[in-house]
Amino acid sequence: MVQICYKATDFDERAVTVALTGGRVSRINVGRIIEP
Amino acid sequence: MSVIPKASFSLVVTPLLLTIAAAATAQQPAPLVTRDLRVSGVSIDDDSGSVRQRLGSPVSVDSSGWHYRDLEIFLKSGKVAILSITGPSRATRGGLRVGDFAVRARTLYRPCYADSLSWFRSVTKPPTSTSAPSLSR
Repeated sequence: MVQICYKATDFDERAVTVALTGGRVSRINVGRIIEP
Repeated sequence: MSVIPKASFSLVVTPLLLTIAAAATAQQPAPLVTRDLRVSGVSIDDDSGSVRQRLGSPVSVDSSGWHYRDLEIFLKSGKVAILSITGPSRATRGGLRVGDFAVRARTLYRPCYADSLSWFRSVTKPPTSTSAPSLSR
């Protein structure tokens, strides 16, 4: 599961993504969303 | 008939309600801003020289990025694009760490989050839509 957190009122690619493993945070990405 | 005088009741209950309201307000995190995109003194858009000045030489460097203890840094055009925290010695500006329970991530970021699927749907809408992704679950 990954949650993507962003500036709600003005979406501009700022994000904190959180990977969860076994109910705990296993990795945190802070930055801009980069298109695949 | 109450044994508590009305004035005393107000003196006790009013501060209690104000304290509860203040605590509830204090727990509402703000939406992400630029200063939130900072880990261990390194910010998004910092150049590679600034990163070395702040963190020193990386433990290793490969095509995916620079690797420090519990932190990977991905550069794009010579500037920091993503700070990836991989271990508990680093934290977000909001205080989230690897190893924290998932509920803490939700508590810290809940007002401005969407799960990956709803985010994917929102960014794949036709280009006529300019609204922010829905926050409802």
